Amino acid sequence: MASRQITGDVLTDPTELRAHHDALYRFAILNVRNPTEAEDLVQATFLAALQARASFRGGCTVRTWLVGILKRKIIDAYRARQHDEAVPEAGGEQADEGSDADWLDALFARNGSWVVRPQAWDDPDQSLERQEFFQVLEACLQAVPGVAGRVFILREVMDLEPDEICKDLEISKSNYWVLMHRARLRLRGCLDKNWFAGLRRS
Amino acid sequence: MTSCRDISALVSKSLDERLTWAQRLQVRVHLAMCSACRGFERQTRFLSHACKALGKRFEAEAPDERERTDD
Repeated sequence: MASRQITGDVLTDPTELRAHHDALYRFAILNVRNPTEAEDLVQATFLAALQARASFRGGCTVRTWLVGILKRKIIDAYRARQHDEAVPEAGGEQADEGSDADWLDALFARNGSWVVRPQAWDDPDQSLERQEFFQVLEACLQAVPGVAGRVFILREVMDLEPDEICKDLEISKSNYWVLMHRARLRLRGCLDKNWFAGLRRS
Repeated sequence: MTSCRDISALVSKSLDERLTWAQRLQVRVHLAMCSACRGFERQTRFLSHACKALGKRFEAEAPDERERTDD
């Protein structure tokens, strides 16, 4: 299909707008975890898109273009937040980060071996064909607490480079590795419990 | 021997960055002996893959299946 030119229609037609809105909102809330803030980001994205529609060149879909704008907005929001609250170092103790470290400690015995050994997942690729799997994945991503969740989503869902994430969130590279490791353990545990355990039983 | 906790951290890191030669050897030796960490390695690779697929779904132009299943 020839790439559509962006005209006012694409961004003001209610049906079209609603289809984009749902996806953009879900993408935003995954990152900011606050309905009001997520909605503000989506509105800001539509506004920016309307203002910049002359610069849309095709070559990608309208949705990809909108998601690109939204990504920028999300990162800007993080940046702005840096000035209000310092991101705690993974080693430093802040309420949720401290309990997150406790949680990690509970996963491994004192000698560093698994307390509960990860169980095998049956043909995980097959889950990628299922809509419900992605709903569970989204819920599990939202359940990864604090900065670890933020960093992980920027890297794995938004596909930013590690160096860029460290710069945007003002964290050190070593802190980045710690947070990614924690997030992976969390996400693995959540999906195991809420998705793959069900497949094992059935 | 390096612990499962340390190995899982290295496995996680290896998804983003090439480990040093010594670290790669450490991981390889451990994984050869530890099925739990082999499982963790496979699963974290899958998580990466699944998250990228999720990101692409947000960019899919067509209304996704969620809207149909919600109706």
